[in-house]
Amino acid sequence: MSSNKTPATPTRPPPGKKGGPLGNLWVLLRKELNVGLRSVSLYLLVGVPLLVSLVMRAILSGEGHKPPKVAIVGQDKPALARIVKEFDRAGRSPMRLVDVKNEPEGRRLLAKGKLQGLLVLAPGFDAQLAAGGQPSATLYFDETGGVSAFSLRTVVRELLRIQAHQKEPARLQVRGIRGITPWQAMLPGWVVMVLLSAITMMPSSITAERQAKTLQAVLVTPIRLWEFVVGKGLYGVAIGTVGGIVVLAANGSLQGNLPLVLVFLLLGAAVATLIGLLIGLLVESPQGASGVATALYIPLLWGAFFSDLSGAVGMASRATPSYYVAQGLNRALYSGASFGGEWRGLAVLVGLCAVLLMAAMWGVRRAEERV
Amino acid sequence: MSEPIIHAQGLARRYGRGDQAVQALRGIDLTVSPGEVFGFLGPNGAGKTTSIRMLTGQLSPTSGSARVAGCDVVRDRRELHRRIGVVFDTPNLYDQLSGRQNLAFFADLYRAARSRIAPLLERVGLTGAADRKFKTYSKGMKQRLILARALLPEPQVLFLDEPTSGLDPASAKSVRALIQDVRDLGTTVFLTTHLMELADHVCDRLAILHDGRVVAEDTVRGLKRQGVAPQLVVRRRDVAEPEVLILSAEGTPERMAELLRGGDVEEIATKEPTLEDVFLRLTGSSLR
Repeated sequence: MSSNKTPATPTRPPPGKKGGPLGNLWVLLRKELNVGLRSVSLYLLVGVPLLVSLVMRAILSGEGHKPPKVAIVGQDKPALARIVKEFDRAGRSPMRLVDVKNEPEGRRLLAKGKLQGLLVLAPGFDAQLAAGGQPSATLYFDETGGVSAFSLRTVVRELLRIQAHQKEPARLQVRGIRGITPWQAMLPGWVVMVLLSAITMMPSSITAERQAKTLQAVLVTPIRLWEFVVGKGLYGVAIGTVGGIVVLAANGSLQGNLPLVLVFLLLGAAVATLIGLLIGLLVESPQGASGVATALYIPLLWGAFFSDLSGAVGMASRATPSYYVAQGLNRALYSGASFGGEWRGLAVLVGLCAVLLMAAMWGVRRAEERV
Repeated sequence: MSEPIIHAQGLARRYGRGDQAVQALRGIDLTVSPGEVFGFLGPNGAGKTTSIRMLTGQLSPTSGSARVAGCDVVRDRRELHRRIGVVFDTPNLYDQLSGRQNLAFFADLYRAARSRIAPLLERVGLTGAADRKFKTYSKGMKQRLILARALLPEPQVLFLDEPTSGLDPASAKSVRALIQDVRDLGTTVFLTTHLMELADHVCDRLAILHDGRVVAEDTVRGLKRQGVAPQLVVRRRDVAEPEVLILSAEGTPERMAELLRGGDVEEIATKEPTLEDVFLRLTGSSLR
């Protein structure tokens, strides 16, 4: 036995080099990026919402929108057709008219996909309408055609109203008071969707570390619990924030109080990341963690889209952190809100981050003990 | 005598509560001197991993206390982790990173100089594979890289949990040589194993753990002598079963002389007790 040997002296860090906790955070972030950027799922999580946002923008702005082809049968005089043509001349055509001889031909064309709608008017339709009556009409659509019967019905009903009064009751235009489009107004909600992707991304990252026991290996290094949580979480925050900025920039909405926009993006991504981390730390199986993450993701999205509803859904939506992020982003982007004016939302999000950080630190210790 | 580098008193751990509670460790006392290779020998479920996890600060004891390398394992976790290296029973490095990237990551966490990586890779024989992804390594290579990681902080105590378990004989031999190499440099080694060969080859001192208790603790030689005396095995022509004589027993010299006079003795061999024999005697069950 050799008890008189001198133990080796541990290496100490060179003074000033990676000496502080920031060094550990950077070490963990760099490793997460090194591992995470090789994962296809990361690009899907950020890329799909970006792509869909661009498609939605195109759809809602009317770009590339083709009005449905509709035929009208049974008109004594082409009154309805004349109204459609007037809309067409004004560049606001709600439908394109196709001439058909009779109803059987119209139904045949509808079945072949040459038409998206066939409006069959009862005999004496125009006269009855002019006399203030309520004539009947049938709107046929092809169930396999892919055009929503509801939107077609809305268009036809609107045109018939116009015909009944012989003119459009009003030329209604929808505009934001700040000159932004309805889609831009919806964009903060879309950004929240990107930020919330961390809720589904982080659990798998943690459960993978737990299963491979690399979590154990990291936790026997001289790292503090909060450094581990923040260092690991920085990856989710970075991905969410960059994703949010890309979506805003791609949709031409990176404007307003940009520092405040950035703070809301960071806080939103941090909340989502910490929730994701906590799920991964508390639920042991990857499938279970994924299920819990999905179950939480949907109600958390409510805050971004349904907060103006009344009743329980509205109340629940306004109780989510995504409500504060979406509202804060909206005002920071479009009304140049200040930090002082947004103190309430910022305080809620910062407080929530602090609580979640502490819970995650407890979760790490718990996970370490339960290996 | 120098101050012990590992000192545990009444270390106990219970998992679960109420009727479901399992007492994994029932209050063990341990003292390991600097520079020793100390082994914890016991079958699966004896409490070896629980002990190593408590001594490395990963698991809090339900009662008792322990100091390792001058640090209390509960209160001074961070300082403890600066002074120890741990080799786990699973190859827990990042599959997507290369061997070198894995070591660089942990070197940064330990605040160890990156210049240590190349010599360590050389020492564990992985220089040629350093830039291959960890997932492409064989089990033996993985175990050697994990050993290299544990040596990054130049630990005062190296903990190894079943270091050769599941390895082929050549890899196991290579890991054994590395452990001896580490010991020769003055690092204290604490290892757990259920493999007698490893314990026999590398340990200066051993504790036998059974059902959460230390049932014996001594040098390997001392343990082997505890109550299991060396034996003589005598094989005779035309007799199928060899005759076993306990060397120190009364009447053995007379019986031996008698056998030799008979003129049909073909072979006389001494039989040292194995750790398996010792374990069997102490616990009534097998190590395997």
